[in-house]
Amino acid sequence: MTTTTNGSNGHHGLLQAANRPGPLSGKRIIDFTWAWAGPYGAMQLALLGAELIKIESATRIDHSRQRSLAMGSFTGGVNQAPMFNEVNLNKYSIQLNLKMDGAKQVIRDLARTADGAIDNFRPGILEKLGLGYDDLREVNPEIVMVSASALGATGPERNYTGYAPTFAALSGLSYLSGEPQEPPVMMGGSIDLRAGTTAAMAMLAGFHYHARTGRGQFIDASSSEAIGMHIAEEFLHVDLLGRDGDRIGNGHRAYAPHDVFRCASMRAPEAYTDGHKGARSGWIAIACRSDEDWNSLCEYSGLDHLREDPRFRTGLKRWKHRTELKPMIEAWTSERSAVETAEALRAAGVPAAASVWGSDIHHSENFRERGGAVGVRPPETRLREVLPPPWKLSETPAEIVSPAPRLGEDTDYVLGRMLGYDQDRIDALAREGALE
Amino acid sequence: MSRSHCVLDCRGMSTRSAEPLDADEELGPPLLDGLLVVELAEEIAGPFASRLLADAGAQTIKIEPPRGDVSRRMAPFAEPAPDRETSTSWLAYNTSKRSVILDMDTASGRRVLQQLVGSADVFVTDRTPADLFELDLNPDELRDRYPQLIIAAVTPFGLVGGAAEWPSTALTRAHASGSAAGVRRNLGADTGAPLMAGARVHEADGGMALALAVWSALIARERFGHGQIVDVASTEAMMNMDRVDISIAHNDGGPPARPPTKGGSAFGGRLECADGHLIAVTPQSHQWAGLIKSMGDPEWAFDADGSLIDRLQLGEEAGDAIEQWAGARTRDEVFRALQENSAPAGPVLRPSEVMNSEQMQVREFFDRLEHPIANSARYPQFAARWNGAQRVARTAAPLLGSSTADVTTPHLSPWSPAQARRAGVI
Repeated sequence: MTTTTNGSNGHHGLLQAANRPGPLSGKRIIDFTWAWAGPYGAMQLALLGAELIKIESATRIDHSRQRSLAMGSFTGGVNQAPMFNEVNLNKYSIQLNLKMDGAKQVIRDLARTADGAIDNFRPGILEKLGLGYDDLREVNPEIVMVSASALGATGPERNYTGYAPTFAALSGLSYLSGEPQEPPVMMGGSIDLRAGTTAAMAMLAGFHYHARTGRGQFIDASSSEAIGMHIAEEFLHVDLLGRDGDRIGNGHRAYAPHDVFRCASMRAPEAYTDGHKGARSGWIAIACRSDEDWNSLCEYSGLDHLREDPRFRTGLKRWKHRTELKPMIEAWTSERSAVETAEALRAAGVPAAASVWGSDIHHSENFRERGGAVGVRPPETRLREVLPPPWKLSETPAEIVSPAPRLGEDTDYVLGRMLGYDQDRIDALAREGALE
Repeated sequence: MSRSHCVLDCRGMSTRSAEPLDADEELGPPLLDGLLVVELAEEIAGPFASRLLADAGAQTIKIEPPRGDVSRRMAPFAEPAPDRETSTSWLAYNTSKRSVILDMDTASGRRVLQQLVGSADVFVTDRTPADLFELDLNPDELRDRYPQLIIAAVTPFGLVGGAAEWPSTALTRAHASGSAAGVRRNLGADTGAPLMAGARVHEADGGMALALAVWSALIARERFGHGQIVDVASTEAMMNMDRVDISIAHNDGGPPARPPTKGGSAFGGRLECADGHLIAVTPQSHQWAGLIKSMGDPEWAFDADGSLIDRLQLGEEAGDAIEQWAGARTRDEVFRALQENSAPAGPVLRPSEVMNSEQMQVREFFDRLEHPIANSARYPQFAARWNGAQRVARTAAPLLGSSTADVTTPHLSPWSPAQARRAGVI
């Protein structure tokens, strides 16, 4: 089932659209972020009920409205970019040219009423504009501010810039990713979202601390360190084993078979009854942790003769001969569909899964049973089904209540309704170019 | 005061000797000072989540069955020999905790577990619904019995839904979530096998999602006065990391896989330098200009008027020239040259190189912890510095059962710890 959120009426009263208060309901956060990592981090807070006011400008458009590293240029308009929508749900957008004094005053006025601020600029950029933590703290001593930069706000490389693939390279993760005999993998957007998750957690910790102690603070977050904290044990190998880890692809250091195997198709043809278009090709992941798993696999697959083969009699032997074993299993999987075969193997107790993507994720039974996708209708495009938040909170649910905003969609609302500016003042700001 | 005071406060300063901005300002207590977390979880996701809470100052009690967390038996092991205390993955995800052994196969062991959970602020678990039912820890009942408690579960497919009890491993979870397909897409148009990322990053995603949700629930409890159930499916945490591309694949039938990345000439790519690989990413025109400037403004990059040619108009030769330029230099030379010209780049560092980089050292991202059996080692911190709160002096992972008597004594009445041990409770 898909619940649908209609954004065609704009964002006014965005938060009233939520069914129940979230953990951050009533919290206001100034969102200076752009690209992917920062916006996704800020979006987590918006999904939890906070009022996220994204500061944008036509003079400096968030480039995820225009292009992505993976897709190249996006040909639609700035209000139609699917990348932008995915990491800016539930937000308000105000257009401000931060070089103008009037715009700076708007930020200070927002800061006075805000609980938090988040940015992913290079360290020093907001300070140069007179809008750094010390400036915001002057008007609001209790503000919690997270600044998430490529390498952090201190250290000799603090001014260096980066994107997801460079965070992964600088953290050690790229080096460890890939097949054993191949070069390291350049990682993509998922790295940004991991950095964003880390920044959001840092902000939540700051809010919780404020709720308990009344103290605001500055939080310096590094996106490269964020990826480093996801691979903690690899650093222990250096000091405790005296060596770096290496790339093992889909393999395991002790188990075999432990790999992905090509299938004839993703699903059996008769499974495609609801008209959705899944992948044509299919892959199945199978992991045998024990003799028991191995015996079950052999039994179910009819590969009983492999159990008798002296090369595969123990776990250690299977691991040593895993490259010989792989094509024998693949000969069997390649005549079968991935989803149904994985299902049968799991029923036999063997960890197995179809390797899914896109619509095949949306159409998995468990995904639907857990609530499924959320439909959003960005104003200038058609209905899109997006993934729900990654957590379910029983009493204060996180909710998607709105698509990403159009550029500057809420400028008047923020200035007029939130800050109480009268029309003359708003017009004056527009005349001086502060609202570009 | 914590020794990290300077690092926390010296924003904009480049060295450790810089004076803090607010030397006179007192730091507050640690972030989660006074909170009690009880953990019943193994391997990576659950223990990682509660490690983040423990490192932030929550008193964290890890309940282990007599055999110990299975990650204690996961290779590789620190020197000198395999031991239940020296698995590196055990050590990495269990800092700042205390270990309590309970025999949960006995009714009295389960009773002590119940009491510990009931006295906690947060109960972190990775047990599936069937296991929780067996242990008399059904989440709905716990919520009714302890309205203040935050019951935080990270399970492969969630507490709710028909897949809750599916057998799975880190491999099958990464593929079931779409994450492995996402990694493969970065490799270009090749339609080869989907691929897990390195280390245990997909498993860590589940732990991060849970810790984030716990902090949200803690805020809600401060504000609204009640706890709740947090249900994180680790596969959903993983798929959210690829939500942008999954959405485009599902809603738009695209995108095509990443365009060819030769020479980093389009939007980014992997370059082979003299001593290893480097990633350069230059999606914006000023960044592309920076890359060209780093190379000494070669003629082929400019048209007759002397203005930069749109990189998409350049052919393979441009990519070849960039590769040649990078190939004749070290990663560090290319990295510095590009960054000095505002072109985002990063050398593909080995973990040991990350640890030895000046940047990480100045920021004290790693701190050295002593352990009674394994050698002392550097452990990564949280990737953020809160400048208003004291940092906690972390401790290495606990020896199996080292806090059993201390922690369970108040819960054992009428038994003494010795009697309880004889009765098989602890």
